[in-house]
Amino acid sequence: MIFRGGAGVERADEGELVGLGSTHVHASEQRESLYGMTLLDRARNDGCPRHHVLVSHFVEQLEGVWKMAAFGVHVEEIVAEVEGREKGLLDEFGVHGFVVPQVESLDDGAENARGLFDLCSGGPSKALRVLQTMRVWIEATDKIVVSFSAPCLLVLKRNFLKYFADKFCYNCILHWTKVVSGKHSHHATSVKCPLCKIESSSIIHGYDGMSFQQCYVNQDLGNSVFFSRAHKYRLQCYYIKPGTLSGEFNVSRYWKSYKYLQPNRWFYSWLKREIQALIQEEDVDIVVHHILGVTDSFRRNTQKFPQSSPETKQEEFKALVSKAAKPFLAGRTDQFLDEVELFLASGLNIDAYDRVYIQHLGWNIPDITGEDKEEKSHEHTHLVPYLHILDDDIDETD
Amino acid sequence: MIASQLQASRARLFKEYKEVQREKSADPDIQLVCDDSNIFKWTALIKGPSETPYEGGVFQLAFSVPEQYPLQPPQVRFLTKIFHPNVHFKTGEICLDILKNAWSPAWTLQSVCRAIIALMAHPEPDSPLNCDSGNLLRSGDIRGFQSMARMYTRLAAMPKKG
Repeated sequence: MIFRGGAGVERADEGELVGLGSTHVHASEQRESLYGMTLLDRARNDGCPRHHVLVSHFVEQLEGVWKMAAFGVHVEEIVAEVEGREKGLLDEFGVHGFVVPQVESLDDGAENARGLFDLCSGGPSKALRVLQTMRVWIEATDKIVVSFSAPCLLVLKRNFLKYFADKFCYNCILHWTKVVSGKHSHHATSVKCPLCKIESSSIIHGYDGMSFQQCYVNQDLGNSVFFSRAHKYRLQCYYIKPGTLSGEFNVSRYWKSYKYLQPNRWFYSWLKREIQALIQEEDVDIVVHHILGVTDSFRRNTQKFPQSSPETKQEEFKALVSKAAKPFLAGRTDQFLDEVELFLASGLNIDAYDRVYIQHLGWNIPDITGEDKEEKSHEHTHLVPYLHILDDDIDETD
Repeated sequence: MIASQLQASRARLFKEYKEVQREKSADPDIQLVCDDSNIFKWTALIKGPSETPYEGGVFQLAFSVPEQYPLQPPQVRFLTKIFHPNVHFKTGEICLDILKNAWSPAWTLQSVCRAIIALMAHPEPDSPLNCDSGNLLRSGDIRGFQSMARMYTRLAAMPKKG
């Protein structure tokens, strides 16, 4: 079992089959009344390999629909729009966005509606519909979603996690996963939802409006080829307080002395590793090239306007990169921008940069860049902090 | 870990208890009672489903709930003698997938009772615990099966008259 911090987007393995004929009890009740079901049904009933579309596809293509705060969306509108305009895309991929509104205290239905109402200008009934739509969407993806609003079925009480969607306390479902995988001699990499029996390869939890944690069932990320120790360290860097390193490299000098006009030849490799670490996908070429393209064109264009101030340049640069990266990095974009700036301002190569970085933080990670020497150990689980399993929720009362 | 598991199962059973108290009249076919001194021991009285040979009978079930509940299924057996292919005639042991491999923590004691009622109405003669009963059904002697089942229902599951 491994824990990963996700950055709001994810993609499932290719070739994964949708369970045929699986009854989908809780979603079906609301099904008729909702948009988008035809698409989901199609993906489900065809039984064809289902690819998850990055949420960012939708965000990117449907800018303007993206109205609600944080990560929330008018799902219905998106789905409707998608149906109208993006049929080709959907035929190619099947559907699956993953959208969750950020809602504060949620102890009962009324609170639910109110929390959403704040986010969604259409009024409570609309908010409720959005909620339902999202519920179905989320259920239709292959994930068990840990929720806050419904009572957990395993202990039959409202759990205290404040994440929207569905049915289980994180610890309960994790516990159940362990029990199930203990029963089978083979190494199961999925678990069935106790209620609807749909196979899930991961458990999503810890949604905070920006990013979520994803726990893959019995999958050891340490075994995957691409996610090295260095990736882990980079991901970990996003859990520390932003700005810790700003004193180490002189960012403002970078802008004032026009250093940005020179290309940085290590930037590509650094960027690739950074994006891989953040979205935990091996194939990030599209994202990397997109961002590189943006920075290159910034460099070219900016030479035409030498009169603007370094601050303007800096802002301009950040805005461009932010726009390029946001669909993929979601809530981690701002921090990512800072990291990009730091790296560029440092003028160091990756190795040297890592050394300075780690030294500054005072971390004891020996040989971070020696990717070949990566040990297969359990250490990585505690490299990402605050993802430990807590075992103390059971005496919560409601 | 073990202590917390015990606490969790206790908490869950307590919830179920409250649920049962609250919806006593919701399902008149099932009467689920918790042991006075032990929340891990329950008994249930279920009514034989209509249009089956068990109609009119009241069957008693004994639940023994493991400490790992609901991660592990409760053990259930018939206390009342019943002639049914999937119930052991002597011990009352029940052969039902959801009580074994297909268990899911989403089941409750109440819903297990419902599943058992469904099993009474739809026996599975191909995985028999009671071979005589299973063989009758498999050889197509529905009438023979029904009359045997009805006889035992009358003998064991109906209040004695007079």
